[in-house]
Amino acid sequence: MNPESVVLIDLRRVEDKCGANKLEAFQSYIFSTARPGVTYKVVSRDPDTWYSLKSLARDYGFEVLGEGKDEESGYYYVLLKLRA
Amino acid sequence: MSGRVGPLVEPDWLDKHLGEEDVKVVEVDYDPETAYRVGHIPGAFLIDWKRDLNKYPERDIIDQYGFESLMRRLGIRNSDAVILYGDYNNWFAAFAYWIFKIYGHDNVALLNGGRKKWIETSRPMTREEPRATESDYRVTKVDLSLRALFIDVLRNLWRRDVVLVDVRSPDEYAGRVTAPPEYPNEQAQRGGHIPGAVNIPWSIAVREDGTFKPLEELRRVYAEKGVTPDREVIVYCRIGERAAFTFYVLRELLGYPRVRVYDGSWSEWGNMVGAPVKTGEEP
Repeated sequence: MNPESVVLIDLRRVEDKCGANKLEAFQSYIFSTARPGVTYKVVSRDPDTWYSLKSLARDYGFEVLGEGKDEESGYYYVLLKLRA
Repeated sequence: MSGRVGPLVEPDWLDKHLGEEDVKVVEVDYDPETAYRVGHIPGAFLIDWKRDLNKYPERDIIDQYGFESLMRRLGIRNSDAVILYGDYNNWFAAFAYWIFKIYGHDNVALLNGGRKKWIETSRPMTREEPRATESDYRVTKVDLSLRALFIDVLRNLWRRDVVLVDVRSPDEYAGRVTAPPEYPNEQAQRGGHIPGAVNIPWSIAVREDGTFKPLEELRRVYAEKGVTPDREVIVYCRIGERAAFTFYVLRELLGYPRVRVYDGSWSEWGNMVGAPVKTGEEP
């Protein structure tokens, strides 16, 4: 894989689902599968899920390269990369 | 602040009153590890829905002594205004609101839009957890008329002056799913709904950002389905939290006089031997 590439992860499946443990979802979709050198763009429609992710990502050893709301799509995003 | 709040406060209002001694802000979460623990409104205390509002080992809501003890631990006094908000579209905050009403704490409000709206509007958040000074809280009245048990629902089936409202998704109501896979502890032996119940999903009451729709619109939506203030209303979902949300809309926002939450909901009814069940789209 090109080290400069960005992998897109859509969190639609964990949004607004009571019982869907967000931390478990973050771990299985992102934290435990991320590879060094790869940048991940994680998108969410829910500001609460977005806030949880950007806070927890730092605790789990990621660098947050960028975060915010894409005004065109209305989606929230976090750009993550494993800290070296 | 000195005075009564509620039933609904806006984020701007809370911004102005944060830190006042007689205004207690409480976040009510289903999943505190990805909500309160990673950031909350400055000064807010935590109610963990599973741990703090449910009784163990039996299945029940906390009793009045449990509520008293919770209020004391959080430093809430009888005279305080309590502002509740939380994760998952305020569902569990609404459940807490219902419990506050049962145990007679009327000076309580929901924060419009919950965590979602607060974060969306870039308001302050912190990880710092406040320290409470234990209070001497006492429950002085208990209003169990706000709650329906299985037997109450059974007795009221098909009564014209009582309307049952199922606030789950259309798929759950029709019996196509008993509970989504991410809710392994909330499965039922049977799918469907309580005969006679009308399906009005909880989400009908909110906009995309989690705030409530205009009252006139809400009044019309419920009335179109036969849910009118002259009838007693019993609301249910799967474990009671979405039902508490609709209870809040009907009783607190729209002023319906007789609304009860059947918190046993489908996780009780759908497992009960001999309970009548209807499948499909029709009541």
